[in-house]
Amino acid sequence: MIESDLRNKISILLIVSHVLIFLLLIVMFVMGGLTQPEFTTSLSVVVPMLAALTGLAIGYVTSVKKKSQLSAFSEKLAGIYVFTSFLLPIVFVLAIAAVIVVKVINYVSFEQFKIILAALETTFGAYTGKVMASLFEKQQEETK
Amino acid sequence: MKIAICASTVLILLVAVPLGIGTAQSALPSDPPRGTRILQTWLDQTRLSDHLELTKLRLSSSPSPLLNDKDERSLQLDLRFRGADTKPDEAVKQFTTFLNQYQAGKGVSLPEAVFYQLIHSCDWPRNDAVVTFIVVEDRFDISLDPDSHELVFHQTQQRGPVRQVINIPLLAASKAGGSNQITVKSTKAPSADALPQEIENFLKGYFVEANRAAHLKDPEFSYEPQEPDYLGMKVKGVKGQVLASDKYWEKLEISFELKPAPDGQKLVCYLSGEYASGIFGRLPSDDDYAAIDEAKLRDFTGNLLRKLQDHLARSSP
Repeated sequence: MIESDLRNKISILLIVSHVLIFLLLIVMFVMGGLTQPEFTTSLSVVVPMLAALTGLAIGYVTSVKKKSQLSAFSEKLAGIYVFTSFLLPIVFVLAIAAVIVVKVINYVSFEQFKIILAALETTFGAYTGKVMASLFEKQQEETK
Repeated sequence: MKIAICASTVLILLVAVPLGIGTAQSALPSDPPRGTRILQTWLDQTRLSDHLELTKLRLSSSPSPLLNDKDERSLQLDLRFRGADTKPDEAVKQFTTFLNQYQAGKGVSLPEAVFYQLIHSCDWPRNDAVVTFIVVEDRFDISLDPDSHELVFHQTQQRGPVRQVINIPLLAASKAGGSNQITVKSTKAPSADALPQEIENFLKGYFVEANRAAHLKDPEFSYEPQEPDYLGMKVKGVKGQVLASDKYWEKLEISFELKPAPDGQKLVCYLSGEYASGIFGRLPSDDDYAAIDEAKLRDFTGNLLRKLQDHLARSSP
């Protein structure tokens, strides 16, 4: 896979995931899976977790307005890099979604929910951030 | 993608197992910090915290002379009266005026309301609970008298012996809408011994029927030991009973006291309730429940008692 392709796909994945997780929280709140204090606390914990990654993707998208800019970056990437770039954000987002679902069906208490989110952030946030930064920040510097 | 899903599942299991998922519903029978939180919220919501300060809630292992079972641990709640006067006699007068004003305004005795709030909040048997109002140098202990099964005041000075024991006065006459008491005419009511059982059956049927109408599984009930003039029960797993919305799970604790009245008997109901979120059938952990607003509880109590009164009138021979 070439670098610009990977950036595009990961950007779309992160932006869509961010929106879906936000919508998932709203739907669960409306259905009664979260009380109002739980909903506001969940938003304030979950949204910043994803915002750092989505911020990188948005930064990339805003820096490549023209198609010619996209085609300028087309180096072929190593398979292991592509795999890791997909794996970490996907696992991170799926894990957040799974924890929300597990909370609203009462398999965990709200306190446990917050602890699990913190554990996820500690376990995956740093690695995912590092991989995403290597993918997007270099490109943003080049476009400047 | 498949790898990602598997990794996610493994991750959840790794994090979840040490945290004790699946045991979220098992809670200690009594939890003083949680009880303190609930009681403080109740005091704030009812604005009683303007007059009473929660100074201590503890489990005491030393036997209390006030309690019925002297070998068991007792639950002790201390509330300090925020009276303006520091002279003991004046402060006691202020306290008495405050109690009278509360009873006149709400139609409920404050010591009784606090006592039942305590045993509901801490899930504690009423035989082994003591509420103490501290008024400068005087202490007013409220506990259950083992013989009469009435709540009694023991007024003591902090450095002196028990000074007097007085019965808490009977409640005012039954009021419409939202009152916590109804009159049960002796000619219409079942026999005194059968009344607690009759009430228990009514409540059980009421909540089971409500859940079946809402296509929910039957609620969970737990009962306190029944006495001829007392009935206590907890209901878990109901929706839309107290709150207008049927989205949230509700947990209710109901106590009934049967008291003599000039025109028969009087049933006094104490109800506390909490709510928590959750979709599908699994009930929330006890830690997730938050207190329900008192006004909503009062409305529900009034409605429930009117239905109970109708039921007792219909079921009488």
